[in-house]
Amino acid sequence: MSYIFYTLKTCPVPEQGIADITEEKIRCRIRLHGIAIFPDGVLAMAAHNNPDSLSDALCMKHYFSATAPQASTMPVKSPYPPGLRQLEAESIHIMREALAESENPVMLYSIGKDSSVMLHLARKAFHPAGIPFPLLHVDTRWKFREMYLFRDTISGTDGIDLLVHINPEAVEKDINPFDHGSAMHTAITKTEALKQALDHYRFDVVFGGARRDEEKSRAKERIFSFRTSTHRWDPKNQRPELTTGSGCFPVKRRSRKPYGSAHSVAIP
Amino acid sequence: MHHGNTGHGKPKPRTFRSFLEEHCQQDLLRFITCGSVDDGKSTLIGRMLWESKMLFDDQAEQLELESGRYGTQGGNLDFALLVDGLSAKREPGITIDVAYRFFATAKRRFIVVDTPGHEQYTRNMATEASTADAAILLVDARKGSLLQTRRHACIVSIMGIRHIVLAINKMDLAGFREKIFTDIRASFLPFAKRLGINSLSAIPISALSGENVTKSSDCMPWYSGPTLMAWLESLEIKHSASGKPVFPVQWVNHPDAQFRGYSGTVAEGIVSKGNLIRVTASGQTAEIRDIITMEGSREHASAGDAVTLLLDREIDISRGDVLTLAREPVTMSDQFEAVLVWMHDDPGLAGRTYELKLATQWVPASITAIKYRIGIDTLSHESCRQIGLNDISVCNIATGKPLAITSYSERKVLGSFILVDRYTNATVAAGMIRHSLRRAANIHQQPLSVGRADREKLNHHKGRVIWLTGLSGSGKSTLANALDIELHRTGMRTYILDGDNIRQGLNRDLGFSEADRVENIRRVAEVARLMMDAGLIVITAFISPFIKDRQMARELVGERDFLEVYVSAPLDVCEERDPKGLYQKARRGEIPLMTGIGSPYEPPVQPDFIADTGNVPLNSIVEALMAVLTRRSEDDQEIRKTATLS
Repeated sequence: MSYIFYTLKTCPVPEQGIADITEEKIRCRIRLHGIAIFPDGVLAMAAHNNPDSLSDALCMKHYFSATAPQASTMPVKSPYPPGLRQLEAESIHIMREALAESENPVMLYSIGKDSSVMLHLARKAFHPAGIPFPLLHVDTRWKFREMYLFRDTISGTDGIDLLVHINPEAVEKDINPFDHGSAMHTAITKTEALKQALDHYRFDVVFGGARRDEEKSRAKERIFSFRTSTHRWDPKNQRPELTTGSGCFPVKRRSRKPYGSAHSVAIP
Repeated sequence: MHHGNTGHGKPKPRTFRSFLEEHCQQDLLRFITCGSVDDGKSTLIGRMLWESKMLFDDQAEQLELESGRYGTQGGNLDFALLVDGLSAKREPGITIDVAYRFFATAKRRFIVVDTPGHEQYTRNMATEASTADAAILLVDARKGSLLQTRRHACIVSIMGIRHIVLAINKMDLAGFREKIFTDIRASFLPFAKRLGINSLSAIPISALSGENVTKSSDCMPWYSGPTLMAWLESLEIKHSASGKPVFPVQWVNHPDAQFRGYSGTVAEGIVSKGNLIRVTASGQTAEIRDIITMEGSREHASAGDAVTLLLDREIDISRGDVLTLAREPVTMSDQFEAVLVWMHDDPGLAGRTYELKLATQWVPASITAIKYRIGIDTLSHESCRQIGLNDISVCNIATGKPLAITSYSERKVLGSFILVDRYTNATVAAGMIRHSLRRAANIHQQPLSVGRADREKLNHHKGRVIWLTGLSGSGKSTLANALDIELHRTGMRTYILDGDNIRQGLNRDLGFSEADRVENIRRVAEVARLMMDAGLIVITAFISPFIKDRQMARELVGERDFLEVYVSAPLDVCEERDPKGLYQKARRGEIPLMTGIGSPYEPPVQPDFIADTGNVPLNSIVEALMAVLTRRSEDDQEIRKTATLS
């Protein structure tokens, strides 16, 4: 047995979406092709609201649209451990320091959980002002559609300025994980694309969020891990940092070069 | 998701909420592990991660896989592989750089910083020690305390870590014998006392087999103290020594006309709504109207909280300002004594200018005196003329403008700083302030009734410094002389400071080492400035090969009054001229540090004037330089006029 996956082009605007995908159309498809439907986005909402009316071919492990108003829930008031509170405060301190000493900072935003934490920390750091730097999404073109919807919703709120960069080479050659393998896809649409964007916009500080235990070399990142102008990192020869609590570490080293090296900031 | 691999431990919380509740009492302790190569640091950290069950299933699986492939423990798990991340470090089997790990027990969350054991990474250890609440000094039971252990103990105590434990590791290889443990402890105790470590804990462990790490060892019934983990869990974390609030302003949050807040982290103590605060530099005071966070406004903010303060009135505050309670001000000083940990290959020299960052303040600063270097193994005071990589020394520092400071022991945040090289932007040193040498508030320039402007008026021209730089034989003295004649002819008061003449008198005590060359230039610049203040046009003719030192002279004299002239001639031309026969001597090896041959010359990047003595006749150069000087004077008049008009 073989499977064919393909995307139903539902419309992001709810009214049109519901009108477009009628029950009858879906039933018809199932009868004709014997397909299973994994509802997503607007279709998921429609299916959830009316579960009995659709075929059992529907796989109901669906989820609400992250951007739909029904899906929004109140933030959980959870106990807040002092250790986490301290880490949050330190992260805010680092972000403010990086902003104050840089000329053209940017925050990487991949829509994932680490990015979400970073985004939230940035909002906290500069409240009530908006986030005073743009976000950069290096787009692999292979995120879930819900994630793109979520990203576009985020970029409209609170004056968030979101830049998107896609490696034009990846578009031209249609680089994808299936034909080219995930390693090549990652190299071209993430690593190469990021370098292109950094070169293009000439950012001098780049915020990025990553877990220390994600990959072993992440444990070696400093708060400010300096990269060369060709984006290389020399973990054996890093600049010392003195972080006495909320103390002293250099962010921008007042580079006199017109275009300093790209720096990245890892939040502990 | 976490694996359960050891017998010890608590039942896992069933829900996310109960997980959170269980963790809501946890505080955070940062500690560092230090020791010599092969003392077993990575194994110890790996063991702690393993036993605290902070590994995910995939990490545990990978560990098993890698233990088989790279492990050094036969078929057993090699915990060091959990910690040793980069392949470069795995190859020689040593930790090359600092690594951070997280784990938690029911009581506490931990951040462990694994610092390199090698001597050349002492600087890394010092920086990491600055963040830590506690330190584990690891000693191999078979070797006892080595020079490196004493070095680490010294750094740890200088960086102000109060909780130190001597973990005597590899007890399994020492037959778990009590005498070995007590001997090592006894031999280390006197050294610890001299460092001011009064209560030194010592724990016999085996990281490899897990004895006394989290569970008490059956192999060492003679030891009745806490396990290492119990020791870490029981420490009292005290973030603030003085308890007096300090708030270095990081950023002015000013999105619109309605809101103007001051963002920063409370470094010590507690600030509350209604507190009267003082801006240290200006002395202005205001009341805290509100304390803002995204979660809402707060009554108080305490040490470590990142907040935004709103004040009840508009006063001038910007990044770098330090706020304190009005009744507990801190002092401003521009000269202090400090301990420096040198972190760069370029040596530290008295007289050279660096950028200094203290809290959020940046200022130019220089080392005015290197008092002594601390001999790490004996704690002796050794005299030295320059500071080398990994040296710990006591120096006097002078800053370009007064800073809000305290001693490091009183407040870490206002007592620690870094020195940054102005050209490479490298961090060259970390410093801990011991005490202020004077209060800037008490020193004033001796007020003089007749000022520079009065003298210049009498002379009908401005005082200046014309700084000639170039290789030996490039024609500096010749040009200086010709220019002097021309200036004198037009009625200007002039003086030449020439390298050879100065070295025969004022700088007779100086040689040609890098440190001495810096001092040579510093003195010349100071003398030139005094003469300029006396109203003279001073022409200096020194090789002055280093950009940094000419920059120091420029700053001392002042941008507007300083004219850097690059006397440029190719080395072979200079060598051919060789008016003093120096190149010949240098080629014969008799002058080892001859500029251009044994020592580099750094040509100016943007000189005010280039005198191409190889191609342009002397009188044309003098003519062109006179024109530059005239233009500079006209510019000055223009500036003065504009200033008067506005």
